Amino acid sequence: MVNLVTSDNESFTVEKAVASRSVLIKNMLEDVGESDQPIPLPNVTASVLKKVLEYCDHHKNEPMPTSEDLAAEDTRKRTTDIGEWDQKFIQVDQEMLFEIILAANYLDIKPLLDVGCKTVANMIKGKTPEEIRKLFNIVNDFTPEEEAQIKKENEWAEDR
Amino acid sequence: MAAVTIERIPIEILVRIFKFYKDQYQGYGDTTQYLFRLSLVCRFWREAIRKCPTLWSDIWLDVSTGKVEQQAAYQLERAGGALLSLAILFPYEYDEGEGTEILPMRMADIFRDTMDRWKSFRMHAHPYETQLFLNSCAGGCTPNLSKITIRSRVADHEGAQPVILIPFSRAAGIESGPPVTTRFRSVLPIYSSLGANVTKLEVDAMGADLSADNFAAALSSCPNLVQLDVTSESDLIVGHTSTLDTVPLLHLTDLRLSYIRDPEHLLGVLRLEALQSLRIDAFDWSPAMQSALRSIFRTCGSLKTVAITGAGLRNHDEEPSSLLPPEWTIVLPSVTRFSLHADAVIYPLLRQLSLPQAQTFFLEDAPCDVALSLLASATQLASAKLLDIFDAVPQNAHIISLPNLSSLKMAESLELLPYIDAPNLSELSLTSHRSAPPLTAVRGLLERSAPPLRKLQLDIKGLTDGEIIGCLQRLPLLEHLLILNCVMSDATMRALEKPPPSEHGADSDSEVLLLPRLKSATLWSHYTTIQGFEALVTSRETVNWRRYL
Repeated sequence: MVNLVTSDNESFTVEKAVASRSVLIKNMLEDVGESDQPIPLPNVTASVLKKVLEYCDHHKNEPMPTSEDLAAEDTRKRTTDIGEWDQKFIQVDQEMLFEIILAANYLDIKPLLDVGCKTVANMIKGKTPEEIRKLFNIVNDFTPEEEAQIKKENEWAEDR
Repeated sequence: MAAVTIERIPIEILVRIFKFYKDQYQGYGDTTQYLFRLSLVCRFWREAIRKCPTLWSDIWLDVSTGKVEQQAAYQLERAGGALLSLAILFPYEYDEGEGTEILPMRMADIFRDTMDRWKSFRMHAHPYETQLFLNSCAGGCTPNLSKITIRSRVADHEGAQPVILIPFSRAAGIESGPPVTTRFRSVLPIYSSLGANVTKLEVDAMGADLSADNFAAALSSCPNLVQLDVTSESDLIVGHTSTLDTVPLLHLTDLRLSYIRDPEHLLGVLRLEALQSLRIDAFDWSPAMQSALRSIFRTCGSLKTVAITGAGLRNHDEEPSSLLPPEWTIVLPSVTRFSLHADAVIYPLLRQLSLPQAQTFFLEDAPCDVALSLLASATQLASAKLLDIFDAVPQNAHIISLPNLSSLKMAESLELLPYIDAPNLSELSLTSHRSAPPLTAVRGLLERSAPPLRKLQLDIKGLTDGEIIGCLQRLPLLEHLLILNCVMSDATMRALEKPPPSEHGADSDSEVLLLPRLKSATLWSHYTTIQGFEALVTSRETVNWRRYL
């Protein structure tokens, strides 16, 4: 078993196979060898780690992405599909979604990071810039002149 | 801690999101308009998008927009040194104003210097336009190219060259770089040195007059092919080759020819040794097919799958003479799946085939002696299906033991049943409409082999209640039953009912209950009544009963 301690000082004891879905934790475990020492995770809160561990537990028996898989990421077509279980898992509020993405990035859990990124990509799909700003509460920091200039630059693409 | 919003997401993750976003539109044309839309959200997004080369590296140019040169220049600048996926589409009509030969060459001028970064190349155009573009790229090195797709426009294809010269090369020698998979429609490729790296060739011959000579030339230019798939929606006739030279494809493992009416000419020109899968369908049998197949069967010891289905009417009578002395046998030592819709031209060869490792066997339209000969050689069979096996069984026929056979389906082939011993059969399907065969054949199999049948389908014209019940009494393990087109009446249904409790107690029920393990049954007969069926259903409620008239 592995003991994980969150930024808000909560402890989670989990199977090694579950914790090792995180490449960060897996490497730590390999570096320190057999040890009862808790592993501090200063960038993850308890509520987020609980959710991340739920994902890791569900996927604990699946093969880890190989270095070849990761190296080939940009050369082959990425699939934008999300599995049925993952879709239900990621049905969370926007703040938790971004927390999960950040945690997956920090803990180096590539498949979870992709589930999060695909979910955001799906949310953006088909929306206008204004709708996207509204969805994510983004401030439009372009001046009207800049906006007009960008549209002009991209005229050849927008006309189609 | 402040709430986490998308503005706290670091740029590398944001770019990852944008890549997934772009991929949602991939394959449906140009994706730049979607990227521009995103870049209008805010400054940070705009910079993230502009500075990510791989977001811009899929270049899809539709000449009809009239702005492809602007787009190409913009995307190439943004893509930086990233590997490129290039697609160029010439529509049927476009306002070129300078003649059709100018634009392809201008496009080539733009992209020639980037050829070392092409990972995929796709072009939809008239063969003339495609060739102009390619000629202008001649000599260019494509070390990263792994996919080529060229589709010729069909409507104005008449008079066009059926082959296109692909002048791409690999500088560091034939073994360098990724393997190349290729697809062509209505045209065939002839490669320069890149051909040595081509491992897959798919050809849709739709609307094009492609000859066996064209194929020979194309295939000679890609000698390391592993997979070849040729199809034609318009029933291609390739004709004879004008040369006696063969084309060695010594690494080819998968060959599929579909809707080529005379594949024997194509097969005849190929020298194959490593073939593992041979699939030919929708063709016309001709005597030369026997020779072509014999050659493949003799040289390709690694063949695992054979699936051959001719088209149109079958010839049962005009059998050519054997090409081998009758005592010779051609063993297909690795074939595990054998499927053949036969014709008289192939019967002599079939009589000399042996399939010692076959697991799955399908044969249609063959005489009894051919079917028995093949079955006798296939002692490892797990599944067999025989359709329309005709002629009388030879007098010297003997019983064939198939100890691993678990599934047997026979339609209009029941004459063979007395010659099969299958002690492990769990599924049996028998269909006969053309004449009432002796049911002793069915009972004979059940008595001789006592198979542990779990599933039985009887679709036999004229089969009576007595004969059906006689069969069922020998099948105590049967779980699924389908009876149709028989002369079955309520008598069979009464036999299937649960008998009333006997004086000896409940245990004795199972001794007399017909098909005690039955889970589902479908009964299809004009001679049964609804009352009889309802009585049966009430009697055995645990069985899923269905009845059709």
